Amino acid sequence: MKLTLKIWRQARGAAQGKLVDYKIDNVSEDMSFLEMLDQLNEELTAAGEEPVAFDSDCREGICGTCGVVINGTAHGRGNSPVPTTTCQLHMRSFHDGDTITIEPWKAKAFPVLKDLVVDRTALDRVIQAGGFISVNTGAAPDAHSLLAPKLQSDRAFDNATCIGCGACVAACPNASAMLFTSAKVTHLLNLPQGQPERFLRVKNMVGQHDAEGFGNCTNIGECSAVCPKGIQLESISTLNRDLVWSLFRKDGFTVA
Amino acid sequence: MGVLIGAAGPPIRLLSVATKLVTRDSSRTANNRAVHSTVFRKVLMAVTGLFLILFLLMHMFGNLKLLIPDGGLEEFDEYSHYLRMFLYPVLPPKFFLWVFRLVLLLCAVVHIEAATRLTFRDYDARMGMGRYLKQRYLAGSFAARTMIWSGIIILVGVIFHLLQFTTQTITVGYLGSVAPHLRVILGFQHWWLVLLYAFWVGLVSFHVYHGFYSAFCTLGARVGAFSAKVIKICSVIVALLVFFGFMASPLAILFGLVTA
Ligand code: HEM
Ligand code: SF4
Ligand code: FES
Repeated sequence: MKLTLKIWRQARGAAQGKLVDYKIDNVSEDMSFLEMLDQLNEELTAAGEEPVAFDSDCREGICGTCGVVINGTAHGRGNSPVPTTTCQLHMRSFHDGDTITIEPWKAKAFPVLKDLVVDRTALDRVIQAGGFISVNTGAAPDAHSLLAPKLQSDRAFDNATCIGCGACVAACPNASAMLFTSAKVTHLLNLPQGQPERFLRVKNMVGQHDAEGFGNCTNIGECSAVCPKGIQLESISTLNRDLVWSLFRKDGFTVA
Repeated sequence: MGVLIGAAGPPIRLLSVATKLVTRDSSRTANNRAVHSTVFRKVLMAVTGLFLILFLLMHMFGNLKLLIPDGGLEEFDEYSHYLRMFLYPVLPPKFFLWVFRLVLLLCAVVHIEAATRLTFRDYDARMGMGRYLKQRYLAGSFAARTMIWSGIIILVGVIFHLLQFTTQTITVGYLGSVAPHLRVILGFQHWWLVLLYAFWVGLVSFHVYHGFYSAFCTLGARVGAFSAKVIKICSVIVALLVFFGFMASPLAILFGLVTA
């Protein structure tokens, strides 16, 4: 098929960018969205133009590296019939002659590095602030020595599937990273291993979330609508509840 | 906005990956940061917002007394009087009324202060207007995205409302000062005032529709798919109750079902 692409081009280090139109032909509907961009880049390179920079790694929807806003929705969720990452979106979701607008994630906490590539290390710092458990090194403990109830372990697992792609931030009208932050908080608070640091964790992670300059959640729900892993707003509610609880705990009263 | 950890620095950060990962702000405790967090501010908004909704519902049931046939009007004035004398003689006259007014005012101030800060923060976080050149929303209501605008119009409306029915600075349909039920009846015999109130009350229920739902999410009541549904349904019920409950008396007056 034949497509018109409107792609955000922003030079490295530039404060602003703009949409540039490209025509592309011979796109197969079996191609993934990124393969279509690969083809465009081949053609641009052959024509001596600068190829479009975009992020990707696994290309099977599990690493969270890829991600662009397609026709106004993160990961092209508005075009895809199922929740996917950009790399798992296929050209069969589009039609011959379509115009596709492609923009990077936009949020103050995600500065654009170049074209469609943004710096998402803010999310890493949120995890570093408490999204882990501390255990002594040594021999691995027996798998059955710590029992986790079925319901809780399911919830923990559902939330552990977050791949940190940042689509929730890109889609949120407030550019809040609450869905991401709450997925990790909910993952760990449902497991016995997460209990010792539970209340300090939620305080530290929310503190870091705010310090990174993300917005304030107003329960709109745009985030979970685009999340490729189906993280639900319930996780945000869980985080809120735990934060209020944590204020009545002694954890976090001393300067770390 | 205090000390920004990690996020601060030069506007363009090239290859900041794994070089500068400062996650602790040593000048404040974790607890202190939690109390000043966006989440806690939302909790304050939720609690004050729910109290305002509770007041709205109380106020609405009081207003409905106007519709009671035979003696409803006296009952309305009595109710108006009773509000002033509540808990008298245990407390001095008007004491409860003033305490209640102060608590309401406090709620409104806390709510609006938090709303203002939230709005500016969110504007900043998404880097102002015109974020995406093409934008399509998949979830979330129009009400949810325009809370600040419905809020501002509510505030203007409240001031007008108090000037009209409490202080009688603005009077419609009469001059001077009259009994409470006459202020209402003489005013709402004018179609344009009914229309104005319909618009205002419509926005209040619009705000309450998302506000009620959002408040319970913020307070952590949304524990699963079922509770999400229950909260959603309740928010629709409360919003409709607010709209029709408040509009019933003005409409009845306009159509001549209630006369002085
Ligand atoms: C009758 C008066 C009002 C009632 C009953 C009310 C109720 C509520 C409730 C229950 C919430 C949800 C809070 C949360 O989730 O944490 C809310 C949010 C909000 N309110 Fe109000 N409010 C009123 C007046 C106002 C006014 C005067 C303003 C602004 C000047 C305002 C601006 C906002 C904003 C910006 C939000 C945040 C949006 C959100 O959380 O989804 N409100 N309101
Ligand atoms: S919560 Fe979903 S959208 Fe947000 S970072 Fe995780 S996987 Fe991506
Ligand atoms: S490239 Fe790994 S999720 Fe898309």
